[in-house]
Amino acid sequence: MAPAVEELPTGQPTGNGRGPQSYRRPARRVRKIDFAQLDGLSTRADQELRETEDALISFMEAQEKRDRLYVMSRDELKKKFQFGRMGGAA
Amino acid sequence: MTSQPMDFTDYLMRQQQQAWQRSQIDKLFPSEEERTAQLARRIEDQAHDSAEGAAVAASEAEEAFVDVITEAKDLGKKITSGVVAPDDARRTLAELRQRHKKIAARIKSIKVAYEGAVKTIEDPAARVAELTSKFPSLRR
Repeated sequence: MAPAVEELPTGQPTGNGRGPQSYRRPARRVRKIDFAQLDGLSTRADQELRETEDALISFMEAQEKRDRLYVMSRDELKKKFQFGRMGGAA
Repeated sequence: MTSQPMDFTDYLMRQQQQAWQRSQIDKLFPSEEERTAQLARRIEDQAHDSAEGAAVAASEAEEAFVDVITEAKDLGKKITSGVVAPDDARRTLAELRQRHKKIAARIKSIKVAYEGAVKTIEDPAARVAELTSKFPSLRR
């Protein structure tokens, strides 16, 4: 992809300045800036950030589910263990 | 005291002297047209500097966007592979969002400055007319 800003000119200035005759003199070149390309980059960065946010949300949700699963399993095991002890005592 | 006729060399020297004096007076008191032309040249130079400044700033903004994209991608990979703590990832993401916002705002001001400069470069006389109507002291 070409850069959004035109490279610095290496040659001599080309053409004459526009405007009324009395103001004419050899012109300095103005580098072109492609603002559409910069807008495109901004949109891409925004998209990339959203995808990263989505990845973080998915990861946190998955972790939360895992944590819940772990707590559930632990509670179940605890109940079973208590039940076993109570049964043994009876 | 007798006045001697001027020889041709003296005449030429005097002519040259007078021309030089005239040019010095012109420099001290330039005509309105010359003053306007000078003002237009100065304004055009400033506009060129502004346009170049905008080009440099735009180039930096472009690099900054690319950095944000690259860092966001890397962070995404780290999150998926679980090598970064969610709290750290959240902080980094917030910082990236902030950077993105700042760059986007900067682009807007760069655009305004660049377009203004280009307009002036295309027609410096119009800008001179606009300025001198606003600030008549510029004519003096």
